[in-house]
Amino acid sequence: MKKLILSAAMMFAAFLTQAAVGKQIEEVKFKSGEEKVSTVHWGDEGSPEKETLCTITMKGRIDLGPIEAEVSCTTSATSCETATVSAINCLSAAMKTVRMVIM
Amino acid sequence: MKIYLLICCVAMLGIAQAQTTTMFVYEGKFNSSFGRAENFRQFKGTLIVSGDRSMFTMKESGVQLASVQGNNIDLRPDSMFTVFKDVESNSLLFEFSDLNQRTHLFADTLFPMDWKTSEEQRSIGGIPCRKAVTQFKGRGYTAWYAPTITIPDGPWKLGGLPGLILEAYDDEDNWHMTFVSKQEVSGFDQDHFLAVMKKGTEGFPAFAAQVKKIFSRLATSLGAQSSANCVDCQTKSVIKFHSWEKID
Repeated sequence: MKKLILSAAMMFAAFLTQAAVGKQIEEVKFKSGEEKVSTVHWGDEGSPEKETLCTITMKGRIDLGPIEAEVSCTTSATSCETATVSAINCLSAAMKTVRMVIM
Repeated sequence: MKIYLLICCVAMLGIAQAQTTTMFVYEGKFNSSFGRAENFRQFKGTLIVSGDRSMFTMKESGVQLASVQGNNIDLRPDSMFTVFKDVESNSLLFEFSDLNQRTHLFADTLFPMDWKTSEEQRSIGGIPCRKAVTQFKGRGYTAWYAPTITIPDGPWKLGGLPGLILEAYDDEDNWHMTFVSKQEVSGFDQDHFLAVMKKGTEGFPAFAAQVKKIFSRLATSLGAQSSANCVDCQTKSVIKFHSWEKID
């Protein structure tokens, strides 16, 4: 009888362990799936109303010692390449203007 | 006659003693982006004290970089944080170099700092020092002063303690000056400062107004430039200025 109870208890314990492992795996799967869904949604080209813009900021400095001026150009565009080129052009023009003002 | 000559010699010796000029040399650093980025450079500071008058200035001691590098325009003057103090007339003049690298002198209050001294002590170059802290023009400063050197002066505009400041730094450690040596010198050229003091010069509010005017001019120029070089882009250019001393 004792052996039967012991066997039953061991089987029950084994069942609980299996259930716990299964639950963990299920949670991981669920999280992974959720991430995948959100990733697909983020880059969904079929939703033009949710189109994402790439924003690039370029900075320049005018150093007078205890006084510093910071010039920044922030550009948003549909592609990061376009935004970068535009921000660089903007900052280049801005610094040129600053030099003209100084001279 | 001999007695008169002797008296004259003693008097002249006394005057010579009274006009002894000492140069206190400091070494340290300054971050010209003060907290927003790391643009530290090494500096040598000199405080020349002659009687009640003194002059402090800081010169870069590290590698000199090109004045225009990429998107940075370096218009720093050779000497920075230059300050002339005259305790007798309770005057302080400080130098400002504008965008055209022309220097202007403005007046400011001599030693307005409300120092909080503490019992904390340490030795700098073998000289015992005491600690004091203060708030000045928007920044917190710590000074280590030497009670044995009874000169109530220090680097830049700092001073007013019962002893020479041998080390000073701000709370973020963007500006730091430490005494390294001293030497007797023949004197320093005070004429320019004295002439400006005699003529009278504008104070800190006028300096703040000039700084604002310069950057307002720059902002206007940038605002006028065409930023639309890309049809699909939204571009915005902004100019911000930051001052070591708080300007309202």
